[in-house]
Amino acid sequence: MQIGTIIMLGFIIVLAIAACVLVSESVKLAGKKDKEKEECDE
Amino acid sequence: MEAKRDTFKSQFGTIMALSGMAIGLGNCWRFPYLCAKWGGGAFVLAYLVGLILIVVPLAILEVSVGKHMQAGLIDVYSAAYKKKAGKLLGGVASFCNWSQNIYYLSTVAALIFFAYACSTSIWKRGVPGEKMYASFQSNTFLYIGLFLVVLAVLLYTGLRGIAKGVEILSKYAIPLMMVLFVITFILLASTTPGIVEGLNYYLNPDFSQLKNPALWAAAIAQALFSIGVGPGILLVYGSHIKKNGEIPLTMLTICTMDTLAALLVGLTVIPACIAYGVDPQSGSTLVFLVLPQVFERIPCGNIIALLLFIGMVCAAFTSAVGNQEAVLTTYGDGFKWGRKKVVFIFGILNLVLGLTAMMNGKLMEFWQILSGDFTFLPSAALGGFTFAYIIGVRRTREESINPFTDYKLGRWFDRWVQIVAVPVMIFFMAYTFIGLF
Repeated sequence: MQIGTIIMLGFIIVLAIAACVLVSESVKLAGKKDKEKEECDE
Repeated sequence: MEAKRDTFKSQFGTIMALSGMAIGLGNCWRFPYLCAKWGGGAFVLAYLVGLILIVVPLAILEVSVGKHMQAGLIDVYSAAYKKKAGKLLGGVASFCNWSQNIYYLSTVAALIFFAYACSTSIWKRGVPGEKMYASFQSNTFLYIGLFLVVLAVLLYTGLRGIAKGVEILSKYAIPLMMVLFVITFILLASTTPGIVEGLNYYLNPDFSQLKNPALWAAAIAQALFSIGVGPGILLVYGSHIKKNGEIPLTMLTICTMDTLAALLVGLTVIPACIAYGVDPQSGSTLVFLVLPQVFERIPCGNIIALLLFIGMVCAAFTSAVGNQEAVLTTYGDGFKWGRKKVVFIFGILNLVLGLTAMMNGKLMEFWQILSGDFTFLPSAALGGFTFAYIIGVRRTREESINPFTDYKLGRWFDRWVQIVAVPVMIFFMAYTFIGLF
């Protein structure tokens, strides 16, 4: 396997991890906003 | 009193619904085929540069304009230009984008057939993909019957509204499809001799291609087309996000998911093409030609085939829903038509134009070219121009983006979009458009 292919495969793995982290971070952020809103409403 | 707008129920649902809209047939065949054509890793590199520097900023802007104005393309263009011009520009751009559904639904029907065929006795007989595809198209009863079923479900989803229809389906279908493509690739790589040559063909960068402006134009156009920036789909989806919805991180997530999906499909399809002797430049039917051969050879192929084609059906279907939702919201808001009326009008149009295209291959090709290149490129350029210069980046950033996010965008964002992103996008759109003639 050529070096360029190995680097690209590594990149796809990094992208997959990044996607999972971004989804979880985005959901966490939305949860935090909702909690703040609830506290403000109270 | 104005009717309450249908909004997404959760942040995860918003991400998945937008990913479902973005991830579709463009990822399943267009990305891998362009990637193979333009030097593998070199195309991926150009795609990523274009995505980060051009597409992500424009996607953030378009969704934020939609969220702020809570309106479809006609209303937004009417606010930006004169009312008559807004109706004409927004109506035409939205219709042209919707016209993708004329050929899209027959492809969804083919995916359903392949899910059935690859998981049952037809697959076990080892019929080549091209013969299966041809036999499906020649079976008029099955071809039209499945098309009608898909159309009926699509219209029903349109009547139910975006949150109940798309959000629930996308939450399960998109992750399922991506996981199954990973499993298929692992099984394929561990059982197929010659897969390394295929991987080198697909991924090893040919950097000499980066000097070619046509490669950059193709990569940026694909990134815009894949995410759906410009012709108003993102704007409409933005109009269904709650007013306090977070945008920058959400759009970065969606663009990452879309790119990952495209790369994963390519990992399965392109190396398999090389290993099994299928031409990777076969175009829109590539997945139908090569995947049956893959499933014939890997362990538990029939079960994986069934699940994977179902996942692809859902991904393609949610993109069709995205195209439909753009016209439903745009025409519903713009002409003050009820949702049922717009669903009925576009349902009849889809039925008539879809059936005539299915009966005539040249007509089908006409709709593919019209919606894929000829109208997408100018409408994307018009959208970028309007959102950036007429409606304004600063106003959108200050009123719709920054108050609702921890990742605040500075004034650099305004300058970047207006001085770099939109001019570069319009240049490459014009370059590609002129190249069509």
